[in-house]
Parts: sequence; structure tokens; C-alpha cells
Amino acid sequence: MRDVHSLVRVEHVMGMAVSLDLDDDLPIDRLESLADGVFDWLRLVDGVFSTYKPESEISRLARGQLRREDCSPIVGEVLDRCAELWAETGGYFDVNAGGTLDPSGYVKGWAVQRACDRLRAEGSANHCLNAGGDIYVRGAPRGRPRWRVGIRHPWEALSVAWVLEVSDTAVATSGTYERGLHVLNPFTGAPAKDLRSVTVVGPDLGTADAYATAALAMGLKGIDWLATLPGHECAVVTEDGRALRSDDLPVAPPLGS
Amino acid sequence: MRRALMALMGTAAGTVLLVGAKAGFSSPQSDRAMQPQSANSPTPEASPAPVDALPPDAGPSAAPAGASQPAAGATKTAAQPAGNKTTAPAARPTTAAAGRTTMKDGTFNGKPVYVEYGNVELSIVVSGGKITDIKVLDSPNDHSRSVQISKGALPRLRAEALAAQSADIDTVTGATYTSSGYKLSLQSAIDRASQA
Repeated sequence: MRDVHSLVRVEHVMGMAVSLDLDDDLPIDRLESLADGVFDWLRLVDGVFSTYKPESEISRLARGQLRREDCSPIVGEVLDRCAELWAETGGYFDVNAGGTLDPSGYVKGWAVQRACDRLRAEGSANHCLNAGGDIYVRGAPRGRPRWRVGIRHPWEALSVAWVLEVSDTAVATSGTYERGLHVLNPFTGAPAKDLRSVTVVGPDLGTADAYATAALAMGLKGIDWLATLPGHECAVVTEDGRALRSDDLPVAPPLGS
Repeated sequence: MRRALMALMGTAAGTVLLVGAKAGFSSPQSDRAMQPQSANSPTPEASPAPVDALPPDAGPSAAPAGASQPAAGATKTAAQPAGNKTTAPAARPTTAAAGRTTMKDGTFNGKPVYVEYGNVELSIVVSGGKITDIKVLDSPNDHSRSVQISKGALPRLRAEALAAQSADIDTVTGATYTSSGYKLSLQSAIDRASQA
């Protein structure tokens, strides 16, 4: 019987808990090395993009102390994609909504997606990276056909409202129930509060996260907007307790069936 | 020592999600009646919500870490606090490898910590000197409520009953939580375990 390996690591990066589950049957030192690469990357991203660090490139760019062309290439890449997302979301995903440049709503998902793409290139076929509730999963954990991802119940912290079964998929959730009314409608400046939780499932985490944030900012009309997104599925809970989802959301069959 | 503790904070705070997930989500222990703010009071945009009031991590750990990191070279970042890692090889269930503190066995509740939108309160279970479980006793906006489902389903999204299930899951998606609150409550629980 050969050794079976997997590795779970949790670190506090970018102001949140990030957990990595590597479920590949690789030597343990190889798994450690892969995990090191993931967290080194996330810390590098934090150093460049953190709006809480006055000396980060994004902070200096926002203050006009750094020109965009003098930033690291990843800054331009992120801001270009944010501009596209602004257009795709009808202006509701807006990195300037709070009055100062803040692409954090895209950076987290983008960084996780990049980390997982690199894990695949380096030989990991089965992993789950969860950054503060935004997730990318690839392959499957041992003993299951796919990853089972719970969508947190927006009023009961220890329950889940849906369970998804997914592989090679991004799952992003934006909501008001943890950090309060922190998403602004960029057109009114008012905090968005009609939707309590928006989950978007799709191929790319940065995009899914931006769509979820945009729908939250839209309020009730975000429900209809989500239904029109090609290639993405969604689950929504409104502030008055309605639960809605797209028909093709990859919901797990009930246990025992 | 302080650094070690902060590192532990980070890892253990992160473990909340994992432990919750892998432990199969026991039912909420607190169903204190904390009414949803907006349930029956459709106050228009007048709410005085502090817009930028709560950074994702207002804790002191956020600031110093990267200040000395000038730019994005292609190389790896320099070694960060080395203790800031929890590796749980082999066994999938997450016993949070909690480092080398001298904690007494038992269950210790952390102090409730108020975090802008409510209390966060944790308890830890210490066994063999290690944290083996973290339970969330209270969390912002945590309450039970009956749910009314409107039958007027919106186009192309299916209306469903809002379920509250326990399930065997690998991970959880959700709004980014107030990690600073979890850290503070967790720290007090660890302090109590160490003093016991």
C-alpha cells in the first residue's frame, strides 16, 4: 500500500484567511513546495495591490505618485480587465465607486485564479483554493467525483443554503451579511442593500467575483441581469429572504439519492 | 512570543472555515432574535451606513507586513513571518496544527468581540495541547427566522425555499468575513487555555 498524501494549509493573507487544499498524490515535499508558491504569490499581490498599505503600487498610483506605465505589468493587466468589467456590468463594477482607485473586488479573485492556473501547470490536478469565501476548485478531492462547495446561509452562519458539486470552476460570493453595507451603487453613491447574498459560478474567479459584486450593487434588478449572463450560473438571496437560482446551477443531488 | 501568537491567530482564524466545513456544520447554537434591520422598515436611502468603515482587516497585522515590500519583482517575496503557516499533511480532517503553545486540555470560550455588525464569539477545544476544534458561538447577524417566499418568480431565475441545511462539504463560499473579530475572540480563548 503506497502512501497517500494531501496537504491543507491556511494562512492569513490579504486581510483574510486563505485555505489551500492540495489533494494530489505527490511527495509531501512537492506539495509543500507547491503551497509555498501559492502563498508567496498571494503575498506579492498583496504588496502591490493593497489599498491599506500606503507604499503599495496601487496606493501610490491612486495618489498620483506613480504613473501607470511605471507600475508592474500586473497592475496594467488588472486595470485593463477592470475597465472591461466596468463595461460588461453596465458600469456597476466600478473600481472608483468609493471615490478612490480600489480594484480589490477583482484582485482577490484574479490572484486566486492565477495561483490555480499555475498549480495546474506545475502538476497539480486536484486542488481547492478558498480566499475569504471566494473559491476555485480543480479536479476532485479523494473519494468524491467533484468538490462539494456549500453556499453559506446568509442568516445562519453554520448552515449552508445550497450545496454545489463542481470541478474546474470558480465560485464567488458577495454579500452584505459579514461586512455590512460595503458595496456602493456607483450611480447613486448609496450602499446596496436589497440583495443579501449573490453567488456566481463560472470559469474565471476574477470575473465571477466582479459579476457578483456588480449584481449586489444593482440591487433587485441585479437578479434579472444575472439571468442574462452567458456561461455563468447564480444563486441569490434577497434581503427579504427570497432565494433564487439559475436552472443550471450545479446543485448537488440530495444525499442518499 | 507575540509574533508566534499572531501567526497562530492567522492560521486559526482561517481554520474556522475549514473546521466548519469539515465538521459538517452543526446546527447554530444561538438563535437569538436579532431582527434583520430592514425586514419591516423600508427606510429609503437614509441609512447612515458607515460606508468605508470596516476594512477587510482592520487589525494591526495588516499594516506592517508589506510596507517593506517595494515592488513586484518576478522573484518570490522575502520570507514572511515564518510561523505563519499551518500545514496539516496526510489526514484530511483538519486538526489545526496549532504550534507549540502550552495549552491545557479543555474547552475555552473566547470573549465576545463586537465587530461593527454584531458580536463574534468563538470557543476552542484543546486536546493534547493542540487546538482540535473551533466553534463559532455567535457571529454577526446570526439568527433564525422564518422565511417567506414570494411566488412571483423573476424571469429565468427559479424561486426556491431558502434552505438551511447541514451538509458534508469540502469548502464554503460566502461573503468575506470579519477576520479581525475572529482573531480577537480566538486570542482570548487561547489566552484562557494557556492560563488554565
